[in-house]
Amino acid sequence: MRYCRHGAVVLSLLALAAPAAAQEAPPIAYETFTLENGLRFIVHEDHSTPVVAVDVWYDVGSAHEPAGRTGFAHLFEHMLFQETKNLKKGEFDRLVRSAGGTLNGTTSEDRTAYFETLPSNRINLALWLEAERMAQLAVTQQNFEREREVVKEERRLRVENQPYGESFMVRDSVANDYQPYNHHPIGSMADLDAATPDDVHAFYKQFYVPNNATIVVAGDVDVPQVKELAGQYFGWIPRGLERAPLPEPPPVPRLDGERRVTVEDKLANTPLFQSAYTIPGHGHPDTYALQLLTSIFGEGESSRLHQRLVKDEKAALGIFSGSNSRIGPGLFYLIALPNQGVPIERIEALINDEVEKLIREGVPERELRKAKNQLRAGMVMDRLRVQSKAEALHHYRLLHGDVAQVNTDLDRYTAVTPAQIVEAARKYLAPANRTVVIVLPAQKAAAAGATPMPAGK
Amino acid sequence: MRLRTIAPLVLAALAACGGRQPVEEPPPPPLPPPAVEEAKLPAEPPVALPLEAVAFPAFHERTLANGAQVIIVENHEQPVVTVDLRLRTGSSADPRDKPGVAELTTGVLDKGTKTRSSKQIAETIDFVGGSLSVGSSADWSSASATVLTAFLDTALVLLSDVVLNPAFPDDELENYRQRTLTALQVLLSQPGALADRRFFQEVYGEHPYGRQPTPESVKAIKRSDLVAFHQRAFRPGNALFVIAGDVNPDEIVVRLNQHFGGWRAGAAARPVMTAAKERAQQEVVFVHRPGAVQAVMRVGHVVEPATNPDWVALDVALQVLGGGSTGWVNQVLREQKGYTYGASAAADKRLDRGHFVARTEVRNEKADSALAELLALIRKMREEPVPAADLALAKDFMTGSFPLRIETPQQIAGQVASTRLLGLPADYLEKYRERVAAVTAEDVQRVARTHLHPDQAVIVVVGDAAQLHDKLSAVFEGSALRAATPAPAPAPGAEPAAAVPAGAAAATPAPAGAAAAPGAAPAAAAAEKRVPVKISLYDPAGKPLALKDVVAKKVVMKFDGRSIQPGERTYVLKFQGNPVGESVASITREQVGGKDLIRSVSKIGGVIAVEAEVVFEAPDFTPVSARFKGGRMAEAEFHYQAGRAVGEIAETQGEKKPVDLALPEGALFPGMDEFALAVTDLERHREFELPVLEPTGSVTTVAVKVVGETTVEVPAGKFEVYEVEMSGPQSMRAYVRKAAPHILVKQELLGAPIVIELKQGS
Repeated sequence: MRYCRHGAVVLSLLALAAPAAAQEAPPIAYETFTLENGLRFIVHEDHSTPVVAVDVWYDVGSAHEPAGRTGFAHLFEHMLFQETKNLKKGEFDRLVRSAGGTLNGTTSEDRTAYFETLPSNRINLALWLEAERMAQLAVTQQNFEREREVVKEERRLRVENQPYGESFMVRDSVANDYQPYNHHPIGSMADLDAATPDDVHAFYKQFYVPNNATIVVAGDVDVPQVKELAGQYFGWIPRGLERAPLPEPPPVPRLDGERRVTVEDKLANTPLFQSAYTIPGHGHPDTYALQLLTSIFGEGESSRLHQRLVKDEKAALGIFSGSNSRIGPGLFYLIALPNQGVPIERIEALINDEVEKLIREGVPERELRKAKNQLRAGMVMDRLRVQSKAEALHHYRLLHGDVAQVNTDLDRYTAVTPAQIVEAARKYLAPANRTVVIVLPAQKAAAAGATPMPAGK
Repeated sequence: MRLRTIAPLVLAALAACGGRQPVEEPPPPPLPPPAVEEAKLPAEPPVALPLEAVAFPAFHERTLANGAQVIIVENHEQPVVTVDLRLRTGSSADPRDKPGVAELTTGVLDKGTKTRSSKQIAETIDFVGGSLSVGSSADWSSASATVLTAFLDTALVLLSDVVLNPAFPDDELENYRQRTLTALQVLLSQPGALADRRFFQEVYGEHPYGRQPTPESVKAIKRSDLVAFHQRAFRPGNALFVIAGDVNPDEIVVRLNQHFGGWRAGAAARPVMTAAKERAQQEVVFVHRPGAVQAVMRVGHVVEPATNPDWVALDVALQVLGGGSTGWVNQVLREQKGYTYGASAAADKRLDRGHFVARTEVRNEKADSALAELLALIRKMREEPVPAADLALAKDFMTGSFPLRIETPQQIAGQVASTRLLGLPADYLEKYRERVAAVTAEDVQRVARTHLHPDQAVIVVVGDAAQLHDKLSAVFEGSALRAATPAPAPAPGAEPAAAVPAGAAAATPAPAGAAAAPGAAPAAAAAEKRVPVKISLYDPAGKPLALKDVVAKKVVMKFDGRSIQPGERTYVLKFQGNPVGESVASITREQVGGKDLIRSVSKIGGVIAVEAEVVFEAPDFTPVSARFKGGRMAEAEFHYQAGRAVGEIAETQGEKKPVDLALPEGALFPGMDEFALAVTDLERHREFELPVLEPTGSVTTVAVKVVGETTVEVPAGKFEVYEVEMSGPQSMRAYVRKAAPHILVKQELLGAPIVIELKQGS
């Protein structure tokens, strides 16, 4: 609805699966090359409209934040829109927008993305700007402190001042045992307050190096042209240190018993139910069945939870299903907003019943085909814009470790059998792997407490 | 800040809260530029490569046998097609006493036809991986489907069936009604949606665009209302098909004629539009949302219909004022001041009168400054010619981004449809860029003067009125906000030298050419010009509130401190579990000028040094004075003078700032809250509120709640305590000894690793 600013943290709250390849769609043709300093390029030519998307991913996110600095990767992302050696404050945005372009950035657990879409004759500007901020960031105390306030305001906007906002944070930390993911990318106010410009400098030096970045250029460009600009603008940037790998995640499903939390929400008018199950990282073979399960439970009005909770039982205003796509372990979640007057226990019982029923009775072939059709159509519809194609290429490079799967991944989905669906549900959607988060509206400040105070003792 | 104000001060110092450094340490030198050997990157951005002229893409316009119009944008890049049927009737045609009819009609339209159940419809569209959606806005209703090309027929079958033969089954209506009622409750808890809703109601008044569904109106709507709306709106003479994607124009017309052949001809009368509300003065409308940490603001008024010839120049003006990250309002409120995550200003063009609206969300303590800046920037559009660099940036974006707006067939078709529905000239899209390029600074100022009216604007503020009251006291007292001319966005494109100098002092955040100290603007300006403004206050559901219900309804707690004994107590301060210092509190009783006074002095040593003193009258807790040295405030001193706090604050590395503000009844000076807890019978009074003067010179309301009783062990021993939550800008938990004397035994800051524990004394 409103215009989205830099640094919209990737709130994976209700996000569904990441895009993937399409059977009926033309394949995404691409070429890759790597500069001597380790900077990777992926170029996709699409000459249908004179536009180009430049999308830079640094393989660093909130998972890599030092202790006591939650939210820092995102705060850092904001700093990359500030000053550089050759650009005063505000010039980055002005240059892109005077070129007719749009720009933004997002931070997730695994990566930080910076992207522009511009008329294709300004490909040189976009790459020059990205080289400038990759190599020549200039941090001032003033910019840092103001941007910290902006980020705190972003947190208030998304979390503190929104009904249910806190509950998603609670869910992610209670359900998750993998330390690098134990906090949301937006971080805590106290940690944001504790950050310093020295942290910016250290983070920049450690992670914002060419060998930790990948640039996708998608649109009305030629590969030789991109190669030439890449060498000219990025070739001189020295290679940095390789970064240390993250610790090994604990095994999932965790199966050590259900966890429950009740969140009293002062801003909510109605309750909210969430159940979340730990699932493996996106590269795990079970991901295909799990993604299809999110469709079976919650995509479209014919989905199981919509039919049962919204239509048959008239118990919920709406339901949502989804899962994280991350390198490390994620969550598979089922969410419902109860209709007024419906007890939250009833919602929980109905959702659990649907999960158990699927495990007990299986999935008809036709229903699985529907889920695959939904997935395939979603992939095709996501390819109308160069920016979303750029994101798809990044997705396969980072989360599948193989860009080529952008054109073959659909086959993996197609091959999933009803038995594999049930097996994945039995394995992961077990009560012992579940975290239940219930949001209850906190009692409104009662006028009852309004009796005058007697003098103290 | 409360409870002796120690913990917050510690937090502030250790964490450099608010960006200020601890007193003891000098600020670090600015960071050197990254070590780069002789950069090989050109210092200037490259110039544009050549770009061939891009024309607006071809599209086709046809008419079906039944009279419906069709726009087709053919594009075979991806095997996807969208069929979007728009009807020239929307919620503005709702019966006057039943807002919500369009919403319910379109909501139930696809929930069953004469031959298909809602489940069959859902199953069919989901099976092909497509989407079917039906909805309404103020001027239009729509039913649309997006599918892979192979399933185009499935989409047309379903679409024509729900449009031509809806059954509006009773149980589906009841189910949808129930969900709508719950959705309304959810909406009323979401600040942005709540602000928009109130804004439409206020801006349009009795005009049909202003009516919003309520629980009562939703409950009153009958099936016959849905049938009547459907028969009126869903007629071919009222219809425009917008087809985009992988289709052949001739073929799709044949198919549309087949599927919609049985559609009974006819057109709909346009709804009667009453005059939109005109205002002679500003109106400020507060929606009270207790506990909100931000003020969500909407500032605007009605504008002329989309066909007004001034719109191209007005589009440019609004792009300068509020377009994207480089718009003035975002540049000032976010980029210069850090008040907000974003601010925008834009217009919604409509068939009848549209509206102009500026939007932002800011933390409570900046609500006054932000609102004043917003109004001043709108005023600036009228009062000064737009600087050449800002005008060029806006026009370059509007013309240059053209290829981005025609990337998908859906985007192209959507633009064509909008021009047709709004009644714009046939060459509007093709000529738009030329017309934008021709707009001059004089044009911009002329249309701004004609069409932007900040002094007659509606200002909707959704937030905690009790907290905002003090900040916006001039408004609450009936004065319109006027600010000094604010800082314009820097224009590095034209004059790089005008940009913020790197490392400029924090005290002068505005770039060259900007007015200084906008934070002081509202108070000063309000004093000069007391323009009357109309004020109203509502709860989220729309019930009018009286200001006294919100701000003064707080029970004024009365405290009697005559039982407080002099003594000395020592506390240990721990940061992340490690002791970092000690605080010694000395409490004395004095008789001065016939008054029975309590004086409490706290000295903190260790990593930081803070000294805090508060003096108040024992019998009724009337404050006398408070002062601080160290911590976040380098120095602060307040004196109580007939219901006001008068004094001075000197921030670290900052100048001295005088403070003179009215205190709400029963307000405590910093440090008194601990004594208030000690003399309160927490067994009986489990929940109450305390107005507290912050060391930063503003008043906040702290909600106190006894959440439990427990035992804590601290260096001084083991104590039975009340566990008390104190929520405000910095929430904390206090443990107060159950047995007399009811002293503070332990204190934790929420969200910060700081704990204070009693070591010695009682």
